[in-house]
Amino acid sequence: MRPLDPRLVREVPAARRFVVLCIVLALGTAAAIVAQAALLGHIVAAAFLGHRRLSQLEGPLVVLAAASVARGALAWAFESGGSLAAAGTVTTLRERLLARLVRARPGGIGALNAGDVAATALEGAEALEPYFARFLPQLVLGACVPPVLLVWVGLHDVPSAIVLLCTLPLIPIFGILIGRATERATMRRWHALSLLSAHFVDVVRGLPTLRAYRRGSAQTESIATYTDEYRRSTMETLRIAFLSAFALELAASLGTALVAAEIGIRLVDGRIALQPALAILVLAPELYAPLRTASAQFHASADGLAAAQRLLELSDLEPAVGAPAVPAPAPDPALDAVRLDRLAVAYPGRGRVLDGVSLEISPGERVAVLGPSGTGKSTLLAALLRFIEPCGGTISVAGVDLRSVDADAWRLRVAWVPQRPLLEPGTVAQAVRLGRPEARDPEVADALRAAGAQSLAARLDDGVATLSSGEQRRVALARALLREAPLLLLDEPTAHLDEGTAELVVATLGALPRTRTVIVATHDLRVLGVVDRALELRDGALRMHEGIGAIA
Amino acid sequence: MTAPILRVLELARPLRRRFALGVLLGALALAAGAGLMATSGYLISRAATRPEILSLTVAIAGVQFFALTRAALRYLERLVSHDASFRFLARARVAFFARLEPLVPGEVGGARLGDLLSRFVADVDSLQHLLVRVAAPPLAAVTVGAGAVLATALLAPEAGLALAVALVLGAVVVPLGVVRASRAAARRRPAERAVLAAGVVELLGALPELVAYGAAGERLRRLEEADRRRRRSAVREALSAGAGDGAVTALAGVGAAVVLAAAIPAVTGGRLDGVLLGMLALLALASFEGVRSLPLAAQHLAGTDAAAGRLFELTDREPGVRDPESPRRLRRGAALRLERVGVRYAPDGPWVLDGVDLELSPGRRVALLGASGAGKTTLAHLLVRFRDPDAGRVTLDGHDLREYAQDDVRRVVALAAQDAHLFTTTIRENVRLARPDASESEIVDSLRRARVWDWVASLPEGLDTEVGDEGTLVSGGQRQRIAFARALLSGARLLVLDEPTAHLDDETAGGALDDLLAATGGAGVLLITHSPLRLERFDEVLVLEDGRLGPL
Repeated sequence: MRPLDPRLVREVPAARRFVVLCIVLALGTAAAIVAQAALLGHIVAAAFLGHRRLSQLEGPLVVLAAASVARGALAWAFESGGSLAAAGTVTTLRERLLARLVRARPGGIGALNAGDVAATALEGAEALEPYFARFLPQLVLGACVPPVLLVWVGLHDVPSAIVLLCTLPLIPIFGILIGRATERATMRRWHALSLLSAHFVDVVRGLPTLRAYRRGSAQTESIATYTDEYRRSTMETLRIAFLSAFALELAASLGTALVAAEIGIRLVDGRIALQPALAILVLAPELYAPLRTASAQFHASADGLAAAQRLLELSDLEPAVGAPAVPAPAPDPALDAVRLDRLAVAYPGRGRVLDGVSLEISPGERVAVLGPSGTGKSTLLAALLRFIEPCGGTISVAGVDLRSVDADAWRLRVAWVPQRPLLEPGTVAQAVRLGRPEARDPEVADALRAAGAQSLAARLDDGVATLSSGEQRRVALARALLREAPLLLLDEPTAHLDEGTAELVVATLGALPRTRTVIVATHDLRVLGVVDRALELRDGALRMHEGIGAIA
Repeated sequence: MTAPILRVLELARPLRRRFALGVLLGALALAAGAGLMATSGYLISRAATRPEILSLTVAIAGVQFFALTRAALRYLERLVSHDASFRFLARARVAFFARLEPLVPGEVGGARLGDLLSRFVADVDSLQHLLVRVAAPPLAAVTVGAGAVLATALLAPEAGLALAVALVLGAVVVPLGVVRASRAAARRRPAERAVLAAGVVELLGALPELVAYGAAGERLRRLEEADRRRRRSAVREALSAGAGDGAVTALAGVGAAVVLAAAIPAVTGGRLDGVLLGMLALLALASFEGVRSLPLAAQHLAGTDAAAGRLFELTDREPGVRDPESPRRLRRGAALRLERVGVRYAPDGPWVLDGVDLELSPGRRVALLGASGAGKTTLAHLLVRFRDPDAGRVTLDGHDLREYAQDDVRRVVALAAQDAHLFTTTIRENVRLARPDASESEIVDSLRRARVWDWVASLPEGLDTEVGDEGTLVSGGQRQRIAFARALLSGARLLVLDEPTAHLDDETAGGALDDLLAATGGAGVLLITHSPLRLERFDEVLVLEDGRLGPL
């Protein structure tokens, strides 16, 4: 795995700006560290060997304090800059993911697991925060600070620079070698560990069930056992994992000790002065520190990068329907017929669900599409909603192929009541207003009455959660009616309703004004009484429904 | 009122030896680091006086010793303190679970129970960091800081005082300031995150309708707005955390400068040997290493305290249902009656159930209809004594339910709840939960009666098939049948089935109900549902509306 995903830097401007800012701050930090070390060496040497008094050293002391304050300010900028960039990047990635999902899966996220997608958009994006806030800045510090310090040391004392240069690479090398070894050990135990750690969640979430079967209080023992087993297993991995930290610390400490001994011996010979000697001693741990921190955070960052990969992967989903470069104005089904010409729709892995559907629906006409569930009735409506791109044939209005029209502009002409209407938490009025947020209360009440929900027209502020499923269905119908779109698509409007409510909904359909073209997908024969034409969908194609005459 | 964090620490009391060992090792590791720098400083200053090389061997050996021990001590400290943390986690989980257990679902329940329990788990698990991240760093830092101040003061009292002031600023004032500055933002954070999470889940759930009604763009904008608010808080927190980091970094350098300023006159005045000056400066710098982690520890402290506060807020509630001193013995009969029962959630709140009468006995089948939120689940909870009525009484064989032990009541009445939980284990274990001593053939028989045995038998691993994380590997229908088999296995003579067909479409639900009624045999059944299916198969059909129970 690469420590820095080039796509992140390329595609997220906040991340790019941040890397540049980090480099500038890191160089400033390096300068402040060198100043601190040089001044400290100078002051001590001057007071000790030069016998200077405090009054003669006030200047350097003040500058030392100032350099320290500057270094503190840079550290602050580093930390906060990292968090700012992290927050900005996470936001950008999340917004891009959600916007892409809306375009790629307008008909529902389907085979993608909703929990997985939500987790990627929330926790996955957040897992990136430590990566940006901590690991990436440390990486830049690790790349910028040691070379600057090393150059300064080299200018003042070549042997020390050589010692440092030889021990410094040990840190990343140790980090990588031990990281690899522990990764294997961790991966082997990963499954067992995740099972053990999930036990507590499982027991707590199942608590109502456990209580109902008198097994609640018996769980404390199993929680203790499982957590203890978890501790034992985790400690086994940690014993190895902490070895890498041990090796890094050891390399840093021994490197510093080596420099101290080597300088000490050369001081005795008079081959180096006290001032640079002290400065180099102060610099030695500073040289190791950023690499040590970055290596220690490498693992934490791995989670973040894995999450980023999934995020970027989901952000690459193809849009469900093409967007025309120069969209034609959306045609109006109130003025011209909707024409399906040998329409074919296929789902990956399921083959053609619709294959050669041809149909012409005049303005104001009511058409029922019959057929048992699974024959593609909902797919036909999805194609009309431009949720899915046909793999053959065309849908056109007034000779305009819908492929040349912007999908959102076309959807303004369409109102849809899905098979299982979903009302978001909120009031009745909010639910009905979904497609026309500016509608006034009387209009909302009118739509509810037209949908056969007289009683709800007076209860606009009721929460939708308290409604029965029949009432919810009628709210969804009212929502479609309020939309004032010329083409109305209804998917199984009477399913899951009791006898009385179903008849009410059918009657409502029959009473709709002729300003709307209606397509009803249903397998309820009662609907046939209120439509002009019924077609049966079988084997992917439409044919005349034979019973229509008798029922109508 | 004791601070929540102190009550949590009370749980750690039995671990105090391990914990003390961890702190001791941590302090020794810090001390070794400070010793490494101080000895190096001394070595170099001493070497600058050009003594015999042999006279330096002790200092050189000291430098190597500190370098080696620092890494080793740090490694041991990590192992000991993590081990203590996990042991503490086990104790915290057991303790909080034992407190939560009698409260679910009577005192802690409702529509958001799932979220609440997830939150509970996250909060309990966040306590494990209390020792390593919150309690240990300050103790180790203070110990080493005090040692450094003492050592400095012995050589030059005024320098010791200067170091003490700088350390107190860094170890006490800065962390307190950081917590103060970020407290408001930290408190807002969970709520802001929850808004965002809910928004994402709603967007994904209602995607088709939102796209069809042109409302998806608006939802994305709202999410961006929620994200922006969350980001503002995160950034404010980051700014103050970064300020803490910067302040400590600056203080380390300024501290060294001040120590030098205090010590130089002592050197000039002959009270301090100049060879020690470099050592004091480097010791001052190094003594801040432990202080660096304190601003973060303070933030963790605030977060942990908030988590502990939430946990106690939840678990300090009194169980509403208690077993009597000497429970009445169960007899063979199983006639359960609600007699003029009333329930309300607050002492002066509206009645959710109001004068409800109901009778349930073996062989009798009752269907209970009602909209969501009408109080159906509350009624079910009364029957298994998850809660007691606020008016009227529930009786078993003519005696008040309050006279029996809860477990005895649940032996007679089994509740198969709508959200029946499948545990992350095998099908066998999930069913056996209801009666741990059940034989293999009894488990198979209950699965057969629930009409799911054919499917189980067709699986390559049969009864030993894992159902996955919370049952995600089995379909909704199979999941409910397994939960139903569990209720059958319990051998209860009365079954309360809460929405057993909630997630099935009408045709499937009808078939499932037929199977279900056939399987219950001679047991009494109360079916709670919102969809009027197969009502003709019940002895009595009741409707719950406005808190009252009446005939259909």
